[in-house]
Amino acid sequence: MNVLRIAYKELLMLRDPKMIAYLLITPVALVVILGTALADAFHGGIVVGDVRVLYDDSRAGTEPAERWKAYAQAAETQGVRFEPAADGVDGKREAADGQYAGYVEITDDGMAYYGSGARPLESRIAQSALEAFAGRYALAEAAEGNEAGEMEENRPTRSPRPLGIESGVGANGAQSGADGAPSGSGKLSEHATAQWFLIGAENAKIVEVTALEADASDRPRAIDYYAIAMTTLIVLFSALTAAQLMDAERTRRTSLRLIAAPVTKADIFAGKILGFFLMNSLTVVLVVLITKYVFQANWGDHLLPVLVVLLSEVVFALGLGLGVSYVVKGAAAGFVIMVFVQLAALFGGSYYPMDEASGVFRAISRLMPLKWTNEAILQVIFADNHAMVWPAAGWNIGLAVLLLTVAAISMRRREGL
Amino acid sequence: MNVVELKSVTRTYGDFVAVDRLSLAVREGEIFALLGPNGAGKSTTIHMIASLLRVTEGTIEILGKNIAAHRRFAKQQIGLVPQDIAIYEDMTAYENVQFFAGLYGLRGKELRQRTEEALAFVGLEDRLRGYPKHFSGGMKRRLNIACAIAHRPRLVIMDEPTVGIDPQSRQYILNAIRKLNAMGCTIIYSSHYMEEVEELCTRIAIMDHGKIIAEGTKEQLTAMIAAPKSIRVEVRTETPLDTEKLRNIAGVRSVEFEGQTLTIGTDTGVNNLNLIIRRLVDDGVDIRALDAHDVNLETVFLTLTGRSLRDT
Repeated sequence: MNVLRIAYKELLMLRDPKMIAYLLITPVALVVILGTALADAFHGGIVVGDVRVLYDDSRAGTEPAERWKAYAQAAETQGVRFEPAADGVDGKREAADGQYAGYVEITDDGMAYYGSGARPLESRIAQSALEAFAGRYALAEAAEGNEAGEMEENRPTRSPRPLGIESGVGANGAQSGADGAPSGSGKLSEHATAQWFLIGAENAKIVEVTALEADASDRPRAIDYYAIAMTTLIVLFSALTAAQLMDAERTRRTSLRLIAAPVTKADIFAGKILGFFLMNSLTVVLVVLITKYVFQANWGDHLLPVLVVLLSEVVFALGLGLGVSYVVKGAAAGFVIMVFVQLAALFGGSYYPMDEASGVFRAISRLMPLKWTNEAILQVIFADNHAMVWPAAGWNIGLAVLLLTVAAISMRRREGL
Repeated sequence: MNVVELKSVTRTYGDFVAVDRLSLAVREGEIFALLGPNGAGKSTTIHMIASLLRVTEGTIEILGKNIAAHRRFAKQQIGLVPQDIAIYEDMTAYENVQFFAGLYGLRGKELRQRTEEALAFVGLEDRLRGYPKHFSGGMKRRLNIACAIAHRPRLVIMDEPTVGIDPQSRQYILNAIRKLNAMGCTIIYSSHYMEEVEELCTRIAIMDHGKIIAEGTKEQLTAMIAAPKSIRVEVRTETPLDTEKLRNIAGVRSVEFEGQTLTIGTDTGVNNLNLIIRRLVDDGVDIRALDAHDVNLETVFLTLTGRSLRDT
């Protein structure tokens, strides 16, 4: 009963307008501001990076294949790098996710080029390079239906075929990496351009050019992305409040009354934790509902797994705050938490998607709680993939249990709170 | 019966001994004072009785039960009024008292009644819904007391309850303490204000450096002093004061000169005030003020320790 009494006392903090502003108004305001101001950034921008094209040449060992290789080497000096696809790599997926400017399938019938919709400019450059290759070895001719007879013989079937690739999500849209981690857009749309480049008998013809775009409905808009990112960020910031759970009692000297009363430290600890969890869970649910129904942010059709992940993050923030407050004394605890939260926000994609991070940054990003929390939620909403829900929740709660255990042991050893 | 009994209680912090083999007993119905300067060990002793600190050595019994083995029972019997105001500023006065009283097992109607009674007892019945952040210092002190008494403890421990408040509030609190005692509550009162202790307390223990240096009623303590009358003279002198000449005056027991204050202990019934004044004037001492009174606890403490109660 004392646990509930202490928890109820914590909930009374919600009467404080400053607390309402911090927990509720701030995240909603951030969602609206960032979601509006950065809306254009989520439509796909013109970014010219490395022009890397993945290819698969089934003619290995033949003279045409050798010519292709020679051309590919030469093209690299001009800034277009053709990379052979490793076994098992889905080149179309890689291109659709923006990891490559495009993907080329080279067979005896010719080249099928799949350009990335996420990198339109680079794709066009790559396509030009392929056209140059085709033009080097034969006459190039662009038409739709002009040479029906010949083209009918050589034209491959071009009925649109949904790829039906599951899992993943596109943030801009890209989430998958060249390491083959399963992610990426739920669907790919193929928009065949009506250009074939028919080359003579050299089998170096581009027979089809297809632009790949992740289905727009499977990508988050800015308001959608920041609804998730700001909610998770504010939840993590509540670790600062958690760090004050016991410290505030000591500062106010009410810890003396609590310890002098016939209440165990375990009751006090449990009551404070329960109160914090209920208070922050309530505000998280309110933020989700407000952004969903007032600002039309897309929280998907499966709110339950989304809330499981969010509430697990509340638990993690609690553990982080309390654990650090018992290990690092005084004001330094707040500083440590603030640094951690800012790094987690930066590498976890709170301010901008970190999909294109590579190397060390990618490795650090994967270690951030905000990264796996945001990713799990995005996957549920935009890829209908629940596979990451329990791992994310498990990590959040597991780490929280560890940190709370440290806090509990430390508290038990102390006189007072 | 003894409500509280300490037997050779010691509390150390590393090499520092805060309380040194302290033994005392507080009888039911007493207002028992712990008097001493800052750093004497009063708060440490009180915190050990209230189970806020562990005892390094010795035992403490509450109503005959060792608190180490019956901690919950001991806590249930005690109401603590800490030296610092320990209330929640973001809860109303009513909510504060109700919250703390609830921790002692009060529920429902009884909880509501006791909460209202406690607030009425300290004169805050018309401020139930007020927030402490809008209270004066005196009102906060009274709320501090209300939070400690709502569950009707048998022992109330008050640690410097009148620090930093106006005289009116102070008097209100002292009256409340008398009323509480009259209702059957035993009180341990810790202070360095000698006047309050003299006015209020039935028995006094004087502490210094973690030990009790004297214990008894006010009359018993003042009887310990050989010089029951004290003459305090504020002087101004440019030459060193010859205290030996003063000691030679009939009836003078002790002479202390510190700063510009001369304190002379003398027998009562000996009319030597004129002689003392004449000696000072003849020696060229400029007398600024003079006060003669019977010895008090301040004098007792000064005699026993060589320091005043207000020294830090």
